[in-house]
Amino acid sequence: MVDFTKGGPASGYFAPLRYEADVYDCEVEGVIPRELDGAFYRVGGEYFYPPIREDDSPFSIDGFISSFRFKNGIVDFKARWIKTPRFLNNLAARKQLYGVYRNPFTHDPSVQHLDKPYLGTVMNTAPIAHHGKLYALKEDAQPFEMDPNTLETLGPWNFNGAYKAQTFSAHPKVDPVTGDMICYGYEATGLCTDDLWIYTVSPKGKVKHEIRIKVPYVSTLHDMVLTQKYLIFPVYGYVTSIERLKAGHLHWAWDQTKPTYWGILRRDGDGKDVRWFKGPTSSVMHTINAYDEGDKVIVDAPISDGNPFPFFPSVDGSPWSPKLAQHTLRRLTFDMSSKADTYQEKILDPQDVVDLARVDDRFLSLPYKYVYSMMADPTKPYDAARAGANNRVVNTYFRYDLSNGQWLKYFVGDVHNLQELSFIPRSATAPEGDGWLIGTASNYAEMRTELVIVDALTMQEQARVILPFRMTPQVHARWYSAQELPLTDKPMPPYKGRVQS
Amino acid sequence: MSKLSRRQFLGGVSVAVVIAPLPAVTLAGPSASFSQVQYAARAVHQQLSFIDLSGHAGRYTAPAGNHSTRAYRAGLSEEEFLRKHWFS
Repeated sequence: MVDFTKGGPASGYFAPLRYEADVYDCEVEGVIPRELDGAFYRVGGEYFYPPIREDDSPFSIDGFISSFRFKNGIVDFKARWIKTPRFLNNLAARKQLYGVYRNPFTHDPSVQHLDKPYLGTVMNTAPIAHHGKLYALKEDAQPFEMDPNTLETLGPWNFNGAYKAQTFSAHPKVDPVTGDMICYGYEATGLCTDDLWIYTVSPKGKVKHEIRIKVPYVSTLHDMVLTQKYLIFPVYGYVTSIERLKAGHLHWAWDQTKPTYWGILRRDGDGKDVRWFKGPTSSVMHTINAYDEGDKVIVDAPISDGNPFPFFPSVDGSPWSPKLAQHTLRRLTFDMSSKADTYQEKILDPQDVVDLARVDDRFLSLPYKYVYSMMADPTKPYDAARAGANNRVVNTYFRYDLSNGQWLKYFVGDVHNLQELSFIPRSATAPEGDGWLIGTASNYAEMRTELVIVDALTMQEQARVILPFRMTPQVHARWYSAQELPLTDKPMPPYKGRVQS
Repeated sequence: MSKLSRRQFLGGVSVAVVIAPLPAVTLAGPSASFSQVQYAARAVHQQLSFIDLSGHAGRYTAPAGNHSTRAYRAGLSEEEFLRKHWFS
């Protein structure tokens, strides 16, 4: 029997959510823009059965996918657990069989599969759509295809056998010029291996190019970035080893002595041209964008100087530093005409921001102007009496103008905590930045999840979709239009059952 | 002119009911006598919320979850909260 009462159990807004949900014709405040025809997909989750150890990482939560389907100003909501082998094995056993974060040595022997660690994936990190298919992603396994309408789990996909890496990052990039998807797997040949395999997938879903390289040290390679010429991969801070896993630890520990490496290689090459640029210790969990400028490569990213995650311990036993965990928007410049292995790093603004920044995806890999993300703005009101003390909520979306350093902000409310946003262009031909921001917020006072739609030019709220309950928080989310996925217009078919005569 | 949402309308109705000059309605609960009733009160019957004018219905109190959130969150440091609820 499930038991969430051990070890300081979460309660209130943070108590376990263990259900799936459908809400047709959601309650809406304001007016949904009629142009919105598509779906906002969120992938995240939480433990269906509690973790075996309290020190486990939240990254071990069971995957969960939800969608807000927009059509003609009406919104339908759907949410499902991602039915991984792990989820179903646990359900069959009526208990947690799996150990701590990405460490099969701590799994129950019946599901250990040391040579196939991907069988223990929770598939909880991000959605992506490409070639008309929707996938859930987790960087320790190949992607799981999901039905974009029913959210049924269809299972892992290896692109007809052409994708050979055991793993697939949660942050592939789609080139807006070619429509190609650049995806990759690190630890590509097994636990703690230094293999990074990179693939280019055509808009029709065919693998058309593969590159295999080695990384300077085995580390988190959660995100990458690309220009029209180059692929760029950050390697930073986190370390692992088989010995570490055999000792029962979580997959990652933080090593403040490790330098940051940026690997840059040609998109059309074989990997032999890769150059590793070396810089000071930092964490680059997520990138923003990159582009070519003559012989230079410009990379923008929210970067911290230390470990952003308190649940991944330091190898030297030092305490977690909230100060070193703060992210600032930074610009890195790599001179590809120079033989030096260093780069320039500039802090664009000293404000602490959430590292889940997004751009208008039509400008990925190209020169661009606007960065969108979130921040905890301490100048905004917070109702601790209704939402709880000690809360440093993320209460503000922002647009940062790279051309002049100007900020434009949207405040969501005094009892809310925002999650990652997406940018939706107003039309295919709209100028950069003309569109909407969309994302969910936890309303701690009313115990419910809300979705906000904000005009990205004025940063004024257009509409708010109210769920009558709190929903599992996401890790990442994305908007996809009905041109990108085969979405149905109706939440369910007309009645075809028995009719009373 | 901005459109009035259903939520705003219902909020306005409840305010109007509360401030309206009503016959004697109680805040003292169902045991109070009718002569003590002075105000309308949010009440619950068979788990359905309504505005009680009789003073005999069960009083409504805010969901325990709200109190629970406050108490739980107040008991965690920022680091503890992030360890447990990085995604929130």
